[in-house]
Amino acid sequence: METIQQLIFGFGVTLQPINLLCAFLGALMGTLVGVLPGLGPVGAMSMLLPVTYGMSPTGAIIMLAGMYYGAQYGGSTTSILVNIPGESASVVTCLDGYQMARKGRAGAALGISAFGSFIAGTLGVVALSFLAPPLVEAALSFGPPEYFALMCLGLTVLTFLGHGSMLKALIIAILGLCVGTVGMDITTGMQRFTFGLPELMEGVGLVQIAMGMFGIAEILCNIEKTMQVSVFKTKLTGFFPNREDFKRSTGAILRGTVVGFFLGILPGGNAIIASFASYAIEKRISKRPDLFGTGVIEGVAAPESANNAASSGCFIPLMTLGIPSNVVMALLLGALMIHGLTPGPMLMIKKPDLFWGVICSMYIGNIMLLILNLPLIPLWVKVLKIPYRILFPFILLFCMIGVYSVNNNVFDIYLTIFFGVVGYLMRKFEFEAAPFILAVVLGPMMEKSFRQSLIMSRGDFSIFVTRPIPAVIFAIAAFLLIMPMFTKTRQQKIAVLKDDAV
Amino acid sequence: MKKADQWSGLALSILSAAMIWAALALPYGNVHNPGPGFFPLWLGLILGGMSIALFVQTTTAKGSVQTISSILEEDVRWEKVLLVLVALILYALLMDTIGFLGATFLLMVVLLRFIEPQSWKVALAWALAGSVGSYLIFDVWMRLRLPKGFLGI
Repeated sequence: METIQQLIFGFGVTLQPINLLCAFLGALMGTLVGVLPGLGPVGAMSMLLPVTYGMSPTGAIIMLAGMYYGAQYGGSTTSILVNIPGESASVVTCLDGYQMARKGRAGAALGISAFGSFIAGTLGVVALSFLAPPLVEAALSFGPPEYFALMCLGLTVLTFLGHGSMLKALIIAILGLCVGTVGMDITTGMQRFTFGLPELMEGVGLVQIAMGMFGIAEILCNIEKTMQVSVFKTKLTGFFPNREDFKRSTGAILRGTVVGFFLGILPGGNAIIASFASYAIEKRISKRPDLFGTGVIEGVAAPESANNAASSGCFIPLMTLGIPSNVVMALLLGALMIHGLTPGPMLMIKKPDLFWGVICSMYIGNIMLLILNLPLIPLWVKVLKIPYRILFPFILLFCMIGVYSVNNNVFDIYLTIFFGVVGYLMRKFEFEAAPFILAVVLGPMMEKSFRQSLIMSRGDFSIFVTRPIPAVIFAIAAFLLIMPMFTKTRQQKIAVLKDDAV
Repeated sequence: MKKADQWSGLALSILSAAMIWAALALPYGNVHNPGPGFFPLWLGLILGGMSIALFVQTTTAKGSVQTISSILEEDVRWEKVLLVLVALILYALLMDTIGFLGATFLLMVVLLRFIEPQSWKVALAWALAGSVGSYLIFDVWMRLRLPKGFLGI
């Protein structure tokens, strides 16, 4: 019951006109970046981070969160109409969504992904509202060893769930931790690896890295080939899926919601893996698995629901523990810190207006997105028709402005270009960027909790295994690390996911 | 050394050696109270170990792995990638001297005209709209304090 009271209080915050406006702007811009291929929520949120400096912390987080779940809605439009994922969590939607469009059922596909997203997004927020308070309660008793263990698990899960070699993903995560040590040492104030540059004293900025690796590197990869975007020409009528569609999709939406939410809560989990997993499950239990990939509506409903549920779920580790589980949450963590807030269990207790205001804005944001999405689809189609040769200079320009405005310093532009080149090379050599970026953010937090743990135990490493919670967490992490070496399970799992998806 | 990950393993090993060398210069402290060099040193050692493992694993791997020649000989437009990077670096260099508006206009002209060829008219029009538009949105409206340059705009 207390949660209900808190929610009423939260809605009071959200319904303030300025916060409603923030939610609306966030949802609208989120849909736009979701629709645009080659610009995802990470790039867009890093661009807008400096703009939020002048806003209230609550408004800023409401807007940035809106961009994230808004992008999950928008991404499906591009997948269905162009067969290119508008953002990475909509990759699987291409399979059946585009086939539906080719059969003249684009309207139904767009409709069901909007409804599925809405139902999953809303159920996800309900679960978030009721799960967060007890988790905060539990998190209050967590000490440095627990935090250290959780962050290790987060990085392990992210590398485990990634595609390609797990060794390479681990290497890139460790490299990220190394980059995270740049800057002033937290306890002694000593300069580390700054090469005498005052700009690096506070560490290498997250926005610069994210913008380089997700913004610039992405554009470099796109312009090296001649990119053709052709919007599927079809009459867009009837966004309401028929009764048959709803009957087929209901189960898929609900299963997608559950799968997505739990993969979202998992440290290291994210919307991309959630959409793949729910598609694979749907295909496995379907009575007509052979039709998947030819334009079945469950194949659109399940992943689109899962990625929205996951995007609600992944707020839980951030809001209750202060640990980001993926790159988007890392950016939100950065935004909170810019506004002088320390994410963690104390956030709910000390800043209830922000905590509940943001959660409630997600209820309203999802309603806004449902209303926005369907009637505005013709507008998004027009946006999709902007040729990439006009679009990419603007994306680059906004990247540059965003990065410059972090500190009003040209140095940050050079840093971003540097990480753009690194990110480009990483793509060429098949290294993933996500574990790197998350590790850069977690690095300083991990080092702090590690050192505090050792001080607590007077140099005794057994503190990480004698306390029950870290012991269990480390056992899981160790299992995930060791398992792929002895079995082919991981390769098989990935292969199954890929086979099921492709 | 035909395989791509032999090269990445090698490069990362060198990087980890640099990390270890730099971390050794920092006070290590002890396990009772780890110093600033403690964490970086162990990270460097782990990175080194894993990079060598990657090198060995790739060298002994059977079956098809990504080769260095597949990356180098891929049919891509290297010159365009290079041009974008040079343009961005020049943009950063020029921004403080000639100001945001001018530098942005030049950047946009280069990006619009020389990456995917389109007519001067189209390129100049979009560059003008882009630079003035972004100036109005970000500098005038959002007050992001972009560099003014010698003209004071």
